[in-house]
Amino acid sequence: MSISIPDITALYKNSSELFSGFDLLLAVRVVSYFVFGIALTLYVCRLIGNISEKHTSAHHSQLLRRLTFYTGVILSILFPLKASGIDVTALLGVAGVIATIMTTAVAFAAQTSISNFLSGIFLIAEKPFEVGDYVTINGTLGEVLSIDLLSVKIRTKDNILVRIPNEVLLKSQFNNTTRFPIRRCDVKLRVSFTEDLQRIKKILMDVARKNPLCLVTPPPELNFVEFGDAAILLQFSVWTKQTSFTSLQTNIQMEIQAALYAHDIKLPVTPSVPVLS
Amino acid sequence: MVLCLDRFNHEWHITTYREGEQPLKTFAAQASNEIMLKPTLPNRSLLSRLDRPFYVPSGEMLLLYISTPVWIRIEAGNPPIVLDEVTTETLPDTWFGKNTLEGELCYANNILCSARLEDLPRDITHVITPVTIENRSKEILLLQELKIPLLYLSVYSDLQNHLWTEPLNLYQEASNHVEVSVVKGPPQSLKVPQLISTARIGLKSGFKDLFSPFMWK
Repeated sequence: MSISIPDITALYKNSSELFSGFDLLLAVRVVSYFVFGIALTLYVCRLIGNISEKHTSAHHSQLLRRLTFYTGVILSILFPLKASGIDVTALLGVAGVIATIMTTAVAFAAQTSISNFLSGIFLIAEKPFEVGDYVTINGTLGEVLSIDLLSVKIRTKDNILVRIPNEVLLKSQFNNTTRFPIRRCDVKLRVSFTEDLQRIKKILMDVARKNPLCLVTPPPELNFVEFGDAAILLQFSVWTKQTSFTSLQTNIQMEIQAALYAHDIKLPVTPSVPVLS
Repeated sequence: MVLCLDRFNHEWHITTYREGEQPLKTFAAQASNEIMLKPTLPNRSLLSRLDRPFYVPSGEMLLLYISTPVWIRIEAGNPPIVLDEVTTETLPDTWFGKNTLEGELCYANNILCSARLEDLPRDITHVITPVTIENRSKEILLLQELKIPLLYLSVYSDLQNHLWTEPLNLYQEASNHVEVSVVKGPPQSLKVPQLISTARIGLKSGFKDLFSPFMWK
């Protein structure tokens, strides 16, 4: 089926009559500019993201991309309107008045959000952690996925997303377990009062020496903690690379148990105290 | 340690046998039929503890030799592409720094550092680094361990197929201020030295002032 030019013109005239007062071509132009603007914004966001990832942290790269995106969207709305002859300043003026009225009205309702926003700015400036770090916040351990203006999102080791408001973070103590390249692993041991502690120390040092994840320096340490009720409490500390901590924490305790049992040293059991009702 | 290389149709198989381990790596290789094994240095600095502490009085010099187990770099094709690097000896990890916050991860070498060259293994699996330490300060210098920046050193061989790196010069100018100099080229005592593998990180000049402490007292 073919359509001739007179048919198109007739179609246009009919459309114009149907939408009298509405310039169809102008509308198409505005929408095209908007779509083009959004597409260009997305392309520029990706480009900035790729460049910034090589020169800055993942967190700053994320912030730059978001800033670029929001700026691009606003320009994609304003520019087509201005190009089509619509008075944008009047729109901005009206938007400003509405914003002033709204600001007063929502000020009380937005207290928490404003607090979170300001806390986010302080967190960004202070940089206690970055995207990719493992942190413990209020007992929740996870990897920092994003540091946004209102909240921080972390992913726990069992793949649960936890959203923590920035205000909570600013008021709480949190631990960043991946800030430094090495970390100490402490193993608490209870040994019988009758055991030779020097012999136990030799066995433990041997375990650390043979474990490839234990650093030579700082050297492993065995500390006497206290005479407990039913056993002597010791703490054996070894250092490892931060990336190897979880592996070391598991396998060195298994190796310690195996080594002690191989030397006929049995770890005492905590005696149960009978409860009389 | 035993290293096996097998060539199949469009594949190289590299197997390392060490204390019962048998990991196999397979590399796609369409065009290359040539494979080259080169001794190279490990990918981190080496922290070498002296067999006994040395006191270096003011104005005195000390020459030490550090022996480093080589890594074997496996290259194929022309121009050569690195397929893998295999350690000849597993060195333990260690930390070198002022404290646990500032420093770097190194390999530990507690037995291969001596003032006498004849005390060290002289075979194709070890590279010797001569280190000259000069105390230019007014205080006596107690030397217990050294960090060797292996990333900046190349590997040379002599006529007897002994492996060497560039010599290092350390100058203690004042307390806690050490300057390090990497001498360009192989040791002058070598006859007909041959460059085997270049440094992992190139130095622009023969001098490198390392900002982290080079020695620990």
